[in-house]
Amino acid sequence: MREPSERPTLEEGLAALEAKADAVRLPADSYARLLHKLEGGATSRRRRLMWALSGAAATAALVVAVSWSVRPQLVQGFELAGAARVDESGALEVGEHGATLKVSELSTEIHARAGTRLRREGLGIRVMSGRADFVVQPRRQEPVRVLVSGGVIEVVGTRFTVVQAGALGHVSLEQGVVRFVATDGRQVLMTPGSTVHWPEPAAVAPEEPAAPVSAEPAEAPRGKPARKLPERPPVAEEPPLPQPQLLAEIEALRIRREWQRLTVRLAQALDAKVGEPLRESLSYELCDVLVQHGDDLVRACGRIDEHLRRYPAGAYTKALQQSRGQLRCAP
Amino acid sequence: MTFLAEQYRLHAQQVFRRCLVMGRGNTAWAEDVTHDVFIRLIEKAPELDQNETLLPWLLTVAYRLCADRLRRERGVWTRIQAALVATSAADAKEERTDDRDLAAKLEGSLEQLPPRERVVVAMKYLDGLRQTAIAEAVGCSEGYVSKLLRRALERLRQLGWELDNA
Repeated sequence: MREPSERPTLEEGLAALEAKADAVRLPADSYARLLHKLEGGATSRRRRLMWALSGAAATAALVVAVSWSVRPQLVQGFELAGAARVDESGALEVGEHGATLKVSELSTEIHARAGTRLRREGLGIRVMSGRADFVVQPRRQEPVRVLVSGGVIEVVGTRFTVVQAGALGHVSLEQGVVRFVATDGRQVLMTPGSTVHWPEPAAVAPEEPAAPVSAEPAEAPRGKPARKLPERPPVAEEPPLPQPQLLAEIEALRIRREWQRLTVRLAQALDAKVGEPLRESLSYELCDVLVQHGDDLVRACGRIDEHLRRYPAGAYTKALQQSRGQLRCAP
Repeated sequence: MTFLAEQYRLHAQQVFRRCLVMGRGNTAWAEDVTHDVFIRLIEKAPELDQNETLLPWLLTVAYRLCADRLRRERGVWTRIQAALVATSAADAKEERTDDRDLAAKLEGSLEQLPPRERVVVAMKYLDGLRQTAIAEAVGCSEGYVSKLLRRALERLRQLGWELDNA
């Protein structure tokens, strides 16, 4: 402790400021939103470049020609701009660069991420899996209905995002008013900034005494005891998901801050057959979760070491070496 | 995962941290600037060397945007706030401080610096950047950066900071 008469040094102040900033994480929702935007960055970049080039000299004819060339096609009840295929269940599966879909009669525009599966059902739209940002023009007479595994989202006119992965999902409202009607009759009138999950966290599955199966060594932590996280049902028996679904589920768990389930799911995914680039990213994600949200230093260090052994010159090597230093892992 | 998304995953937190320091711990402010930095990345990606680490470029853009925004926000209300902070900082000069207070105190002091001075202090002492790089980012000569740093340090000294290592 400094003596009362001493003036603090700028160096000490800067170190304290860095430590304070280190403790604050970029909010998960904001992180996910921008990540989504960046994943569709290539398309956006092309569009911006096109606008910039044509800005000064563009003629009305050129604009008409460009808009004609990207005129959407009608597929399974959606006006589709982008690549997508129709799967065996009749759902539209969005291609690797994402797509924009419109349903004119519902005054609805959907920006769907790669791998998202959607289907028209009656007067509504079902999100079967993946992530979709909805923009619905005001419709006082009859709300648009978005169907999800946990219920129905009734929309008067608004902007919101739906994430659906397996039986899990959530809707985040950005603007306007939305009513979520769960399959069990629960109704939630959402306000901007709010998120509703399904099923309700407590109702995911009955509690089981068995510990979640993990690929990580079950070594007892030395020093600080592991943080007690709320018990979650084991996810070890969940069937392996195809890649886009797996990624959507990982993102959903991250947004819900279910770090224990996320850790188990990532460890499982690493045990499954996945390509090397994805494996490297998943391995990094697991390290990151253990470093940022776990209290088991031994496990975090062990995981980082395993990653560095496997990918000594990988894309995340530098970041993990820094984390290793910050955690003061044993050499 | 696209190149842009990859860069975001790797560096978003670092950019956010810098913005947080520049924005006096205001999370929403830092989020906004971080968002703008990566939107700028989308626009500039074709011109950037994708084999190099983009962190220095991202931090430079972050500083530039922080400085612009701080300049825009430096209105009457900010001046009133600065005056209030100055009073409390002066009162705190002789107080015993611990590490928890130290960060808040430095935030208060940095807030009283003009935006450009705040930016050059952070670039120099938080990121250890050379004056050439700072000059390029801020858009002025090295000589002017040196002058900004001198002025900033003098102000910090007057606000009660010891500068023996600076």
